[in-house]
Amino acid sequence: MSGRGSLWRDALNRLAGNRAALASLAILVLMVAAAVVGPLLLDYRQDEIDWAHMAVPPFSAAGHWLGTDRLGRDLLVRTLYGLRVSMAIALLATLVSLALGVSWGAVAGYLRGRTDALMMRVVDVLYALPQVFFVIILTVVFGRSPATLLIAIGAFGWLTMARIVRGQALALREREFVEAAIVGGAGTARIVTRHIIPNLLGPVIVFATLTVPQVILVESFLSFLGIGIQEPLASLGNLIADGAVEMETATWILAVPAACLVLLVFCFNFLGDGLRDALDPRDH
Amino acid sequence: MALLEINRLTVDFDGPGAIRAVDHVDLSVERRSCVAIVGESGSGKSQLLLACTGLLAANGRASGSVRFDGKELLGAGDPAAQIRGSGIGFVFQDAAGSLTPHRRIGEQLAETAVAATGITHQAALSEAVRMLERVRLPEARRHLADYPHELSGDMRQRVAIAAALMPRPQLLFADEPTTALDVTVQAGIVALLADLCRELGMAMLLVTHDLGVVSSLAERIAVMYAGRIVESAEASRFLAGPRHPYSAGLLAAVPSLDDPPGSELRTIAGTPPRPGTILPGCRFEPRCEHRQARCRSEDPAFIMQGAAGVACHFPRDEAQR
Amino acid sequence: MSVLLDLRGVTVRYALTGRPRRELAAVNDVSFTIVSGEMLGLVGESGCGKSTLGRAILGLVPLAAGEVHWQGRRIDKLSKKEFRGLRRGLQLVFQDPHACLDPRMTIVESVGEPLRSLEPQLSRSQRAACATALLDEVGLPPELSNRYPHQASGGQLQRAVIARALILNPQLVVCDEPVSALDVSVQGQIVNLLARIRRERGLASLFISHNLAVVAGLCERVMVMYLGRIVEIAARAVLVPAPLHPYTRMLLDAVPRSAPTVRRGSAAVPPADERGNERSMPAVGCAFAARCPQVIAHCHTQRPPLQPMRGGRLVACHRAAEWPAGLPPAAH
Repeated sequence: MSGRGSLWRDALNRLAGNRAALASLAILVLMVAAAVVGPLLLDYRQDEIDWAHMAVPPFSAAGHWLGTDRLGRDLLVRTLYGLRVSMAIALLATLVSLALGVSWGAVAGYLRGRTDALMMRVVDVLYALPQVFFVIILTVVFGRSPATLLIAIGAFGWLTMARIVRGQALALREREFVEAAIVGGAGTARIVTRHIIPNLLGPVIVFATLTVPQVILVESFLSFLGIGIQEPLASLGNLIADGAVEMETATWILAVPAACLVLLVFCFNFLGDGLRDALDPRDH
Repeated sequence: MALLEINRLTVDFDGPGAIRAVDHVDLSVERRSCVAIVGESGSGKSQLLLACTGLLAANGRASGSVRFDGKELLGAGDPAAQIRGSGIGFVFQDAAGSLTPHRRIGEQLAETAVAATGITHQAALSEAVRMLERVRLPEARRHLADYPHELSGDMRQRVAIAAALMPRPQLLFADEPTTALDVTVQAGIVALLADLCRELGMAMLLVTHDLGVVSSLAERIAVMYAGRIVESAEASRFLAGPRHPYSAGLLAAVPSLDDPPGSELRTIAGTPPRPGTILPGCRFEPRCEHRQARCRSEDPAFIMQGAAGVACHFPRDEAQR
Repeated sequence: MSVLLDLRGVTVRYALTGRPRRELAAVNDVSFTIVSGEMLGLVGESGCGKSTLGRAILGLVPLAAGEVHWQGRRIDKLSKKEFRGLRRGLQLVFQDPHACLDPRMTIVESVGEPLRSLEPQLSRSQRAACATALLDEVGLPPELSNRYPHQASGGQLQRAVIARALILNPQLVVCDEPVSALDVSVQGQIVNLLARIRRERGLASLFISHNLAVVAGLCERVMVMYLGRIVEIAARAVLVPAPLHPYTRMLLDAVPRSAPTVRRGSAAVPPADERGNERSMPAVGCAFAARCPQVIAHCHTQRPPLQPMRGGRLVACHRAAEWPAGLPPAAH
């Protein structure tokens, strides 16, 4: 993206001046690295039961830095696996929202009129479906799996993106450089891909960054309710659900995944805010 | 003592690539006089006005001194806030922007008068009618109940002028007051501003790029280029023979119906410098027809001689005009 | 000289918001022709419909009535796709160069873009070579060609916009206020550039401006437009010294005769009421009657048609015959 020229470079420079966003980015990189590499370096598997150490608190038993849960499974390993699953679902769902939402919205906004009305009614109808209900039906029909969850979240995640992009595209198509492109003989496809989409990437990137933590929260919520990721697979949501049961006797089982979730969501939000400021120089 | 005295005013903007928009500007406006600052986009003329009234953008800093009626306006705690509106009135380029869109004109005018002088709402409304009549708005009373969008640009600008005058300021800041208007109504607004200053005994600091406006209003003209004042003189003297090559170029660049058809227009080569790109030597040197070696290395100081001043190593003298 | 462009009774209407639903005729019954190589001036104030007229010629806004003929072929009913082929011959220079260049494209990319759309057989390097040659012709320093619009000044960008309009080698260019967004010291450069290009390429153009001095310096023939209608068409040589329409007189009075002088005008003249606003459009009579210093009772009841006068000029004023030597300047 930075290769697209100095508007992006300016934005990167502005982002580099934002400490909160940079720190968030650094933490996120660390978390991703830990989630990907961490489990390989640790001695335990996520479903491995340590009969000698059940529900030990952090830093009290050798090898279990963050303690174990009531079945003696290492909490650090399970949290890292949970992070991996949560993040993977969030990123995939965000990619779906980017691909589908941006193209849907840009085409509707640029073409206006009847096409726009039809395309946006589709969005409205999907909006009107209750998401939790939809997920339950999906899990009943296709069984519980990360793939089902991904489809369920992805099917809704792109709707808001499509609306945002359509609004931007409606405004952009009135800009003079679009008229100039028409005068220069450019066709619809070219105008949408070369003039509309590049100019709305700023708000899209910001919104995508803010979508990631939203999806993580939805995934956690569904898993917490028991219709998301299932044991023995870990996700931040079902780890927190487990922890909540033991809240009074073994606080850390809740605290470790919850802290991880809070940190993750915080960092994405800070980064999103930073990107918004960096990409919109009018605020300065 | 002058009503407004600006001494070594400098305006800096922070951020990636710090920009100095106004660079050590001295200027004074006497009571009941009209001074015009002429300059092109990026010359710093609008930032100068904003700095005087503490309205700079968040990343802007003003240093130096601005005294209004003996009171310092720059400094901590925004001392300029007291004189905004009451001591100094504003007229902007975009009248529509300075009027609130969803409130009736009478209400807006009355509100400023109530806030400034503490008179009753009813008294303020009749004052508003008088002021609208003063700005030659036909059927002033009828327009009290109008919303700004119901008026033409010309009438809106008249209403904006009336709003600025409601608290009876001693000084009016007019930032490009005719630029957004159609050519056939510009002259009317200019004449109105001149009449109002005379009638109300008000001073005016006018900022514009339009020499036609300046020539019929201002008693003094200061030309700004790249953040500096390069020439300052009485209007009649300036128009008869500007001494700075930039001023001379600006005057010559105005297209005229007396030019033979098909003739080349006089222009100034090159483009105005981007704000913040300050080179050593004279700032106008890259575009100057009369530049010499010294201009490239040495920044000319602004030298006052009597009532006129110029910042040029080789100012045009009587013989060259 | 062949007729390039022929407009017959062109009318463009915009729907107005609010109730009852009404329409505003931004351009009303406009007819004129441009022959090859001619530069025709169009003068009027903001909101008079001059920009809409320019866009209507280029097929960017639909006509409510009338016809546009391009080289003898009717083009106002063409579909978007059919119109694309005509864009080679018919181009537009915009008013605000910062707005009409894509902020995410370099200057040379923007200039070469029409080739990419309409001459797809050209390779990337051929396109760039073409664009570079044109940027040279319009006097843009080569080091600027790889910059983005926000890194260049208005005058430099306007040169790029002109280069983009020329890259397809058109026969006619509509110039919509090409200098009014620029600094005074730069305006002359662009006007001189347009005059030079026109001389060298024999290009026809419709030059739209609110500044009669600029138009008069460039064009042999000038049209004056007021509230969507043409009120006077005449050769520059007769229009400037002897205007027949009171509105033309007013526009002439607004131009400094020899810079710098005091503009004529008085605070006592009532302000223009609601110009360009639908409420001010009288259903009958002359649209200019409310502001006209020469108004008579007849003007309020009957619209003056655009009629031929001596010297091949057209004027829409009931009283035009009363001042054969033209209207004198307004008293100061």
